[in-house]
Amino acid sequence: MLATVRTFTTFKLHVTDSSPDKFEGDTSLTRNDFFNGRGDNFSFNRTLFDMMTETTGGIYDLQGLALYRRQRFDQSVAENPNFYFGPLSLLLFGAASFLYELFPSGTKNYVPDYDTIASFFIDERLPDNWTNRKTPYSNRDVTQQILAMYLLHPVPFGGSIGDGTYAPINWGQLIRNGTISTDVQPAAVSCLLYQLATQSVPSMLNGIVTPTVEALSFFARMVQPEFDNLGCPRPLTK
Amino acid sequence: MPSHSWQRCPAWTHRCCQPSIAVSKIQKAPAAQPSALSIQTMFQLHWSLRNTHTIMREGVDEVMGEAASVFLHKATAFTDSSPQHHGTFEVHARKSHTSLFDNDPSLTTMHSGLNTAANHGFLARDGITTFAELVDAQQNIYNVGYDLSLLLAFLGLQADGDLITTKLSIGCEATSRTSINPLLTGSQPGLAGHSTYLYHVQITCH
Repeated sequence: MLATVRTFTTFKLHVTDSSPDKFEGDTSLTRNDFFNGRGDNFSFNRTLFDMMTETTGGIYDLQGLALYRRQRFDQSVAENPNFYFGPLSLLLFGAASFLYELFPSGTKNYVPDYDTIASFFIDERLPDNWTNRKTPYSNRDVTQQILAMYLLHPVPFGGSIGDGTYAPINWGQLIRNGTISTDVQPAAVSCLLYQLATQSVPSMLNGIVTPTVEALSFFARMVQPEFDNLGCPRPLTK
Repeated sequence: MPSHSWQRCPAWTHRCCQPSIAVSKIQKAPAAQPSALSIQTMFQLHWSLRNTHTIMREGVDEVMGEAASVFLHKATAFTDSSPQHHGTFEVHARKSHTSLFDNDPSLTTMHSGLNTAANHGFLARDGITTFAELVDAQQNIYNVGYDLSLLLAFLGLQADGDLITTKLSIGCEATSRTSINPLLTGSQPGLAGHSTYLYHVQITCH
């Protein structure tokens, strides 16, 4: 599937190659881990969808998805020797929140039921007579859901190191020894996604992904203005 | 000409001019009857006019005409995204058209939300989207906030796309179509080729 242009990587400007952080999408809701899928971590997996339905009881809400995310974590620890669960994996909780925050329809009283969710995942179509949510789903909203879902069934951030051991990692003020404290500070919460976008992030146990100067410049121009009032630490471009 | 007026832009931005004709077609929930020119169709036209140099999408012919002249004004630069404030509205699902990505299944994406967006014409049907298109589509379909839309689009673009053309494949690698210069940028793996940042994980690459 990779095109021939892949060979032209001599003057690589961006830290975007697929190698170092390939496993960041492990434990997603309905896609295989990179390793277990033999590289295919993007195709829809019906078995996982059915597992999600069973765990949530067909109502894909915060409590149900938090439990299912925990099951997926345990599954990856057991089955994936290359498993890595880093700070960017927090985005998976945000993605999971989409099921009950973005997908439900106003014409069904915003209940995240099976028909609604199946329409998105299986048919990849909007349900009939679908209306979207009433208020914009903001950075603050999704960050609150990320932490709420994570803290219902907390799991350690880290990675498998080959001998059956799972090693914890640290990241900034938020993750210490693989865990997020339940008394996490409001400032750290509101800046979470901002910092995932702009800070260096441990992307595997022996690697760190740092956004490029070009990326940070683009961020400063296109994204930063919407975040100025949060008081998050500005990324340095040098 | 259809009746329309241009919304005034706040002084701080050049981004927000939306012809009110688009807004007037929004049906407040619980909306009943699809309008002849649904908002979804209008957005299809919007996107297609924006990107006519790369693709022609189905759905354009049926709404060509006077309305097109309105949207020609909206044919904008790649980075021209705008905050949208629609509130809840019905997004019509066209039932007639064929599935997307029929021509190139490899450009399907791991994100159910993005596939749905493309299936309804909010994202380019050829699987090559842009920063602005991502920002607008998230708001127009799912009512994602402008701040979060910018952040998510950025995470996808900087990881998997081209910061200069702002183009991004929502499927697998298509560097020859996203990169300003493949020789300089190297591989731009596309969302399905890279699992790190968001769009992998966030817009439902569940």
